[in-house]
Amino acid sequence: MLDQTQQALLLQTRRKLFGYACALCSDVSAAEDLYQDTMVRVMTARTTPDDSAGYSLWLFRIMRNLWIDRLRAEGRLPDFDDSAEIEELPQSHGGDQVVNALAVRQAFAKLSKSHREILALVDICGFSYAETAQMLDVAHGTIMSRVSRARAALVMQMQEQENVIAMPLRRSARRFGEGG
Amino acid sequence: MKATITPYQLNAFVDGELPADEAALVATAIASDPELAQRAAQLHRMKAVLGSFVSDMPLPEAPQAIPRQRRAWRKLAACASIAAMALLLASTPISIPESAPAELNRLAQHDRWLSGAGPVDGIALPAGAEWIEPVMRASGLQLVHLEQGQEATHFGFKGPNACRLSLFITAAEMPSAPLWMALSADIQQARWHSGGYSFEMIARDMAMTRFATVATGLQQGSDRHEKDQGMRLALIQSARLPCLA
Repeated sequence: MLDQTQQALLLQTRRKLFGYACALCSDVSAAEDLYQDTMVRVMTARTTPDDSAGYSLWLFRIMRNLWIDRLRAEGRLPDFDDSAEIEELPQSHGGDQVVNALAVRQAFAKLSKSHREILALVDICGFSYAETAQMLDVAHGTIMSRVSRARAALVMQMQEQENVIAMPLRRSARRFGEGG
Repeated sequence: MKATITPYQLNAFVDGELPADEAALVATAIASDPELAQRAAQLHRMKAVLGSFVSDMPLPEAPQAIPRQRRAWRKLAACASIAAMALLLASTPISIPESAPAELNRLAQHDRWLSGAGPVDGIALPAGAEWIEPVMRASGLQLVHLEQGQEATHFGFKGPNACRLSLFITAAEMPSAPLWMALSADIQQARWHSGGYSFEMIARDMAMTRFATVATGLQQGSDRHEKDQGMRLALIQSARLPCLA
């Protein structure tokens, strides 16, 4: 049973939860399934955290655990390689480069699961590094490096679509539709 | 001497995660290095775009149909949606009903009836169910579908504005249970036990006030508390709102 505070928190958080699900899953249908599964788990939980911050983390952790359970069942667990160092961010191409939403989203969809997840938690869901570290049960510095690597990968992906990102949004959509 | 800013620092700076002294160091470096400034700006823009994901993203809706493929999951999703909406909309705490599988069957049954419902003339209520008639008549609903299943009897009612409402009555030896309702814009559901019967009411796209009033009226009728019938019918008639569909 959820009390009124928890209901309000769930209401506030559900959009971010679904955003997280979309980031974790490869397609919207799978994200919807994950979101619904999470809701069922949340609402049938016997115990819930008392404080609002803990409750929010708990919601996302339930979703993440369900996601990992699914991947484990499919033998597709993501590899979180925290050992690699990144020396520099990929060089931008210079000029009046426009980072448009379409390009970012397309590039984001091509990232690895672990990269999508960390960016989802920090950028989409708005968690701090400390909260993310608590949720993933890793050190604060690990989050810092994962975020850097994920963003570097995102920039790399976007540069592979340079004809899309190096132009204003309205023109880019038209050009992209023409196949570049 | 020019400070060396690592990618970790730059990202943490963009995320507002650096302590003040380190953030000042990065800010100074950005101010004096156009290339670093460009990278920081790019990170800021990417972060902003990703942050806008959730505002643009439509939340999953309650399922409108139950396709053959993945039907079992759709039933579960429907149940979750109903329960979620109930929890989010209700002003008082609500516990999850224990009989979820039966609930899902009812919703599927309701949807099957909706998908196959054509213009049907009104039919008479069977013997023993006449007590339903005054409530439904006051609500502007007419019985157009009657199906005797193995467990439950399915009553399908039609309103003047495309409203469709299902009432399932099952013989059930269980103690009386008060009216439970889950109301969302997409699905409305009510359930109660009374007099050795289990009652379940389902509609889609019916005005919540109207659905709640009909459910309350039926629940009271099923308890055979007829003392205040006049007042109850007046209340129901006053709630004759059009269907949203």
